[in-house]
Amino acid sequence: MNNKEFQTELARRLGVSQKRSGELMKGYIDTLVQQLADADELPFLSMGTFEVKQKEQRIIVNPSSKKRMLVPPKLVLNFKPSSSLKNKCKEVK
Amino acid sequence: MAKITNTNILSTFRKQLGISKTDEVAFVEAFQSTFEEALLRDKMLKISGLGTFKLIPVESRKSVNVNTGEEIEIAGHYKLTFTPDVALKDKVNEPLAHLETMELDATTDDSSEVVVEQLQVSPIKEAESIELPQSQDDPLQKLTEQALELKDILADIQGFGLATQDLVEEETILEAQPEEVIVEPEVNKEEQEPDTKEVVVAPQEAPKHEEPKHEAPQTPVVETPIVEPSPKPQESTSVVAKDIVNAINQEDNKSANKRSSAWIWVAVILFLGVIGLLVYQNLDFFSQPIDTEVDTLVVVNVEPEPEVVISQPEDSLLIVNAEIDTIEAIKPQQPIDTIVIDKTSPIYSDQFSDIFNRERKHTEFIDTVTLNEGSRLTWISLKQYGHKDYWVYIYEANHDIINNPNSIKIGTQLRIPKLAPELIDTTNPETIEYARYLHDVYVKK
Repeated sequence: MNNKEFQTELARRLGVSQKRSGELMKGYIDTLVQQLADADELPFLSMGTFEVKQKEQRIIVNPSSKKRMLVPPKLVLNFKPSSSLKNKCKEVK
Repeated sequence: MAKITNTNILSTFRKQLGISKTDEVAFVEAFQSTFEEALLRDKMLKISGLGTFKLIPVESRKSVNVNTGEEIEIAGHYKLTFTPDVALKDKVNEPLAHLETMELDATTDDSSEVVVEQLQVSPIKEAESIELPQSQDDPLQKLTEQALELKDILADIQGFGLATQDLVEEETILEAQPEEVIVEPEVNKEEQEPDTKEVVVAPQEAPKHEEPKHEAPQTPVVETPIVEPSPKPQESTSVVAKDIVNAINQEDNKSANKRSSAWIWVAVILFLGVIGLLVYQNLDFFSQPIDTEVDTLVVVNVEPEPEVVISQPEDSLLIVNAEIDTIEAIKPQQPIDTIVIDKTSPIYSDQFSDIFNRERKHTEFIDTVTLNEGSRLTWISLKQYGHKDYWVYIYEANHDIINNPNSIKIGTQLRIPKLAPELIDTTNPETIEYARYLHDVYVKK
């Protein structure tokens, strides 16, 4: 399901227009992302948590030129599903 | 930083959009249910501004129950993965975005790594860097402690060495000590009668007469009775004289104690010296029952108690010294013996003379030995025949190979001849004597 379908489905369930549901969605996601700048861990309703983790620097070697390159450390966003969601996923056949 | 909860997020969300709490609750419920349903149904959900959630199948695999050791199969299932949008990814990585992948030159290899490490903003890294100097201090402290301990140990060893030196010195200046002790009171009481001076002089002379025997700790005790009756001066001086005598007695007793310990040291050193000589002679003393003098000497030295020496007749120590001289003389004595034999050809008892004089043709061999580094003919002989002096027979058997018995090339194959048992009878000193005679003949040839 893509974003638009999700938006339509949400609008149907809330009984509001697609535009309004889109606004609500965008508002919520923006708030979430804003908070992410300050925190390493962020709950995503009851679905799980978003986590910011640091990947260490590493040295890679270009296979063709044999040049050694240093990849700097970086911060990545992980999603850790809650156990209830995980169990629901496991039940999917 | 306080942990951000769902209520924090939702309250800010409500404020930003200006919606009521009921609307918010409704939205959250609808959002959650749609999210789950869509995800479980389509196994994929894309939310703009956030990223893509996907259900990925995991194949069934076998595992083992850690507690029971039972084999179990983990059924295949789906797991949820999340891939953030590029925009969100960049936003998350903003603090470290300025770092770029750089090429590592062989020369600037390490330095560049260090630079990058310093650039890192992570609080974990900073904490580590703060801890580093502390951890470096600890080994330094340990090192200094160890150095101090080592110093102490060294000082102890040096002190011990000095102590032993003192003991030896005491032994050497034994005669000087009592003299000094006696001289002191003499100087103090200069106005005394000549009688007391005589008394003082008497013990001075006594040690000189006795010389080596005087070293025994008991002798001062023997001296003192001689000293005590001798002072017969005026009453005033006699008291002083007694004091002097007492002082002498005390000092003598003290020095006697010191002497006894020094005496033990001397005995130990002598004993070690004798052992060293025995080793130098290399088993000759044990195989040859000739040197009876040596045996007696060993007995004397084994008993470190000085009383034994005293109980012996006069000049016992001189005898000991003489014996030591003989031991030292034994080393040169050996060649002298053989030289004598060389001049006058050895005379053997009849039963052996024919064995010795019979011409030996080494035709039977019991072994072959390859010389390697450190091999000696004498050692091979000791191994094969039981005595080192029989090497001459090996030399005879390999006469064609060996030019000089003192330098044989490494790797030479030596044949070990079979010898008549009478010829290599270690219990018969004549065989050894004959072997030595042959030794001289071959070496001087």
